[in-house]
Amino acid sequence: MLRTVPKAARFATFLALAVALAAFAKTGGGQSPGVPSPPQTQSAQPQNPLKPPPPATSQTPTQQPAPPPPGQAPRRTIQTVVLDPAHGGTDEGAHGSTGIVEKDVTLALAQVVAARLRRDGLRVVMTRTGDQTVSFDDRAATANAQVSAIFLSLHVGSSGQVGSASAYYYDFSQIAPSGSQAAAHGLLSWELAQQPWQSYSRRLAQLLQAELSARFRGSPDLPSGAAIYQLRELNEPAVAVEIENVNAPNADALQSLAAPLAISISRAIQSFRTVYAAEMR
Amino acid sequence: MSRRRKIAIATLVALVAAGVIYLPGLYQRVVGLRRMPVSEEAERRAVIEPPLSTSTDQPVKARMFWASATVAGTVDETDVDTKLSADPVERGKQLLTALIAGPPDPSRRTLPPGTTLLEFYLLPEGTAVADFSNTLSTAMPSGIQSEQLAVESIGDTLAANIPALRRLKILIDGQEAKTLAGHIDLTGYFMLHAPTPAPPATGTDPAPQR
Ligand SMILES: [Zn+2]
Repeated sequence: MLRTVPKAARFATFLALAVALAAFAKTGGGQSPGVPSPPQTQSAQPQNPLKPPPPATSQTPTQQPAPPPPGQAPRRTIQTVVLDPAHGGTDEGAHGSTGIVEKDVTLALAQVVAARLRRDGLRVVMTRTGDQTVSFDDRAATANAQVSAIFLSLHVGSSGQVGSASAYYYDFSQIAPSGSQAAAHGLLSWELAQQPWQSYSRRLAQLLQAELSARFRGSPDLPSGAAIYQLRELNEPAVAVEIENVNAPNADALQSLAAPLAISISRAIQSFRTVYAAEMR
Repeated sequence: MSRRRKIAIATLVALVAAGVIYLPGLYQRVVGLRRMPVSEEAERRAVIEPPLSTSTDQPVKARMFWASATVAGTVDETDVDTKLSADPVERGKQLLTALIAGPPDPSRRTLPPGTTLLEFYLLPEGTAVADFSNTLSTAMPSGIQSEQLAVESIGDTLAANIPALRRLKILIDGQEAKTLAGHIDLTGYFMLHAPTPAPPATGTDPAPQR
């Protein structure tokens, strides 16, 4: 027994050491795979700017069939507008110096816009109807489940001229996707669902900006392309509108923009439906 | 007592003894690991922050891009007489530090004060990686326009002064972030194009304070 105990103890000690080492190794994990490392680590390989780099995100790309090429798509008319009051719940968006919170204003604006679009005979789907936290992916899923739809995200900025409004579309020329987002074998990743729709989205943004600049003093004449995360995952024409701004003197000042915003959106969508139907014919 | 039982009891005793020996050490390591990110960040800051002048500095007109004072939602070029390193990595650090320090006119600021450039390095074929402290996200005025201006000012300033750059990756606290402050997508690489030089200026602004 006296000889047995030390052997067993040594074995147990070895076992405990192995467990401790394993635990230590596990807690000492390095950077996430999405982070490019400094050159000396040799983990980041040379990149060809024209070729997507290796995966820069830990997200698992959900492969989706590419939408039909816009020129041959079976969708001929826009029947549904997916209205996205941006932010909500724990994501409050921009905060103004007078206590205005973006998520409250976007919801209030969206309700007015929705009423107007329903009067126009359009079906309206809201990505949220209360103060819920809704992820980018869930909003995109709601939108992408609709047929013959367009997507419109409403925001209130925090830096532009109060009372101005800008329309945006996702501009893929500004950003090179990470490797996991790249298209392969005729399939398009969820993260790049917007890419085939960029020209339609830009057209919708142009029509929208023309209406906005006619009603909102200080607005630009042309829309802007920007890498807006929410728009990238949308499998339909998609735009964002940002009203300025949360530093307005009070919430009423922003709420008074709801009616002209609703008219602008309504008119732009009517024009876009005509353009879209003509091109799909 | 059977031999097997004796071995089992001995093993149990040994495991308890080993635990007593190793657990305090393990605890210390875990505590140490928890503290490590702070000290690592402090180390990185120590490397970047002090020497903004380098042995290869040359007097140049740095082409800096801050928010336009005349056209909302755009950036404008301001030529600043300063010294920049010939080394592109050092040059990039100098430019971004000056960009954070801010323009002569504070209303044209694009990056929140208090932001720190934690790291800047180049990958082959013109990819720049700029790693900023979390303040860039948390203190950024949230909005499509304000975030777009921040990205444009960083990208245009780097592209205008380091022509070999082709792409830019922005990291926050050493990690890839989904968005800058809720809107602009940071998961990809921004394509860089040197902005067209501004028409001849009548004068130049003084160098920004650092
Ligand atoms: Zn927003």
